[in-house]
Amino acid sequence: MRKLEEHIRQHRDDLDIYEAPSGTWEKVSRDLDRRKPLFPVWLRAAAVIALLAGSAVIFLKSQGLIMNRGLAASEDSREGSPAMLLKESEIYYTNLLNTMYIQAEPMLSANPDIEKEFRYDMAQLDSICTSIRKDLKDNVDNAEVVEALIRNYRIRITILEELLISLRESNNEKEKTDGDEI
Amino acid sequence: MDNLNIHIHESLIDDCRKGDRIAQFRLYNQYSKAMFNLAYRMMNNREEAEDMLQDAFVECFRNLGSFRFESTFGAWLKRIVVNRCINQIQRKKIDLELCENLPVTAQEDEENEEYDNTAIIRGIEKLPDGYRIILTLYLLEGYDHSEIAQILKISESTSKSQYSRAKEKLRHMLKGQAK
Repeated sequence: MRKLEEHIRQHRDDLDIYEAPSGTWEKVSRDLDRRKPLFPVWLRAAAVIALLAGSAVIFLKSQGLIMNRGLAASEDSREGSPAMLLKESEIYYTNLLNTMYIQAEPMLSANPDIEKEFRYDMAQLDSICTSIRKDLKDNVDNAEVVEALIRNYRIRITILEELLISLRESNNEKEKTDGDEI
Repeated sequence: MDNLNIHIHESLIDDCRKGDRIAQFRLYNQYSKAMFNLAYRMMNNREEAEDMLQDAFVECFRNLGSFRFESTFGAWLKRIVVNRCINQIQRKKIDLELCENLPVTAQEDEENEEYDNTAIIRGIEKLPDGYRIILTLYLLEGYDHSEIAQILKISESTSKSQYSRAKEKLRHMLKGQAK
């Protein structure tokens, strides 16, 4: 029985006689455009890491594994303390996020699929943020908790930046296509 | 040499990961024929094979970020095509005709047999689904029986016996055509 096997192995390349149908590449390309991911893989990974880090802080705190490094409430407002850092960061990031969101909103309304995906990601970050905030009530000076909150803000900024780039590119392409059609 | 083969497309793949459509087209051009022939042998239907090819390349470009050069790109892509085809076959609930209890018949001497490639291709197309798929995966695509067992969720011994019968059936068909 070896001979048939040997013949097939020796002539392996000659047995691929069919050409891929013409037009398949165009379909692949169209599918890739249609299902273009909103955020690149690395960004999704970064978001997951941020979520996990936030969750870890919450878990460790709930288990009492993070040492209470806080100071008395009276010392919260001292310059350079985690509480002050958080307050300043919150003002900065909230303003930045609002500005970016105002820019993105009209484009999001025109892209309901992207808007849905964006809102889902934001809702996940919100839910983590809420849990972290609960910890802040216990002790605002806990450096790990403050760091987790700031990381949460930074991820939102990165997501919004990527979103704006993606939406602008998509709009430009659409305008170009419309122009070509005219 | 293996290392060279594994990394030969590295820059092309990097460009594809960045969404460079020209790079993606080059990679498609390089592999589409082989992958279409594989899909065709798995599905035994031109339209379905085309659908599998299209879906496999879209999946490939979407998930290129997870390709870590642990195998050749061709082997990675081939596995996507095979998995797509197997999923489709299972969705259609095609009976793979894996006959566990058939006795293995004596293998005839084929010292003087001569084979024609076109006849082999037609013969493979006429094999029952299960035989055709196992023969394709083992003999033409280079998977071993443990890999086939994993892909088809069968035992390794079933893969071996089905392959043996598929090969024998093919040889009989070729012999019949030659007469």
